[in-house]
Amino acid sequence: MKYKCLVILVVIFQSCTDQFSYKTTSILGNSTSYFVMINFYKSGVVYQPNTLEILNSNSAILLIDENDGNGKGLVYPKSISGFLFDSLTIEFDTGKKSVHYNSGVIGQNTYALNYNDTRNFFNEANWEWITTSKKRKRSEYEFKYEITEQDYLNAK
Amino acid sequence: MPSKFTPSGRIIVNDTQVGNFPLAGAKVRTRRWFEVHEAITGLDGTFRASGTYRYDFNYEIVWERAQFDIRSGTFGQATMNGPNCKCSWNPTIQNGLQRFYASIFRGAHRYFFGNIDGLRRPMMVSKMKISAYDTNGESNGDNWGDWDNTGLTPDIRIWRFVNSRERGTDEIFSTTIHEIAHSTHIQLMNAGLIQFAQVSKVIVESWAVAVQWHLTSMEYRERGIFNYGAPNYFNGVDGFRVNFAYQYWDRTLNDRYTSVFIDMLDNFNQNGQIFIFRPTFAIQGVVNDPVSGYTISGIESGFLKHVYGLSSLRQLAKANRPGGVTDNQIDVLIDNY
Repeated sequence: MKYKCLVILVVIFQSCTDQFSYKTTSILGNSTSYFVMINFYKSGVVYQPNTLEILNSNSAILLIDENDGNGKGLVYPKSISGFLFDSLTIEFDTGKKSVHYNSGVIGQNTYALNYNDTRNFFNEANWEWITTSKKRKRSEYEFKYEITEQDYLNAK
Repeated sequence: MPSKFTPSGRIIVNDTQVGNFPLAGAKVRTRRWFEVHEAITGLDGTFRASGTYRYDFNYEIVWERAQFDIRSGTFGQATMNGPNCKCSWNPTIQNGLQRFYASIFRGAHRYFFGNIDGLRRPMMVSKMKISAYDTNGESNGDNWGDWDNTGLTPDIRIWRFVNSRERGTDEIFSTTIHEIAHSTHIQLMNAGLIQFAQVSKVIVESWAVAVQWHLTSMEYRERGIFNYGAPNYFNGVDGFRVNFAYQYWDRTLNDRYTSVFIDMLDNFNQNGQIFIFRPTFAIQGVVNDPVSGYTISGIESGFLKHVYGLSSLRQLAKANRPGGVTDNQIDVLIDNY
């Protein structure tokens, strides 16, 4: 009888609907000692509203998504998917820059990073998931792309 | 001896999307010592009590009806105090906590009494208790289920703020609908909670999202926003799942709160469509949705009670498909989830 009651209680509490919630913060980090500007291109033209600037040794919040559910929610690369950008450039204040192609783009720049490259900015797989807080029913994440000294060295 | 006076007046409420309009169905209570008279506001927001007073009396709105009750937090009754006078009362609930209560009331009132397009109305064992929290919530709201027949614990909890932002009245309204939809879903299952516990989260939440989208859209279209909840509608809040008819959903966003039932109802294929939130934020839809023609009440009364997961949804959607929809199209849609 005791066990029957226990099972019924467990079923009752399991039955409560999803009370999970999450918060995901998309962050751009710059661990180099250079000022960085990111420009997004469509058909060879810079799309100004999305231009990102970030100081050396700094980071910037690009997007916060907080909602019910278990996430992981809206993240920055997803939030620009509708612009159908061809490419972007990560430009350092010394004049060096790297070119990143979006998914499905085959360009003529032999130095450009294709979508499948492990440093391609458009590819969500190259962003790092960091769990900053994990409670029983609440998860908080950072979704981060860090521009590194190696990125600077690889830039042309 | 002073003359007799009948309490009367009109209640107007503000909405963040459509401005001011009359509040229908609200319970107004008047009191002087032990004499109490009540009235319910009509569609035009007016009320007139059944009794009279010779001297000053007190007005209040009691945020409840016989079927549901809004609490100020976990236990107290939510009320709005009016004047003590021998006069009419014509308040406008313009903002703040009372507008929050009013928005929950509007959602619950619609679900219990209004046009819900043939959906099942909630039938609670005990009066539905909706706890309204004037605080930041980690969640918009939740549903604890109608398992406590004493009515002591709340069935539903709803928060006014998220991340210190006061949520819009349409968001509060739609969260109320979402949570009540869970209650009716529980009642729909043969053995209530025990059966409901076996339904997968993707079905539980996606169904509530669809009801939330459908009824909130009905409400605001009736109030003059004719594209509310349409694939081209955005109320300015990123994570609000009624925006763009939730057609921007994909598997990476959330694997429980999906658009699957909305996609069975709508006649819009979002695959490749662009949803512009603002000049720096636009999402391309990826779900291939060739299905349309189901109705929300048809799904609920027809086969929802037998749906436990996506496989049974696929099977039952095929068994109950509307004219013009093929098994293959249903497979194409369900494969997205």
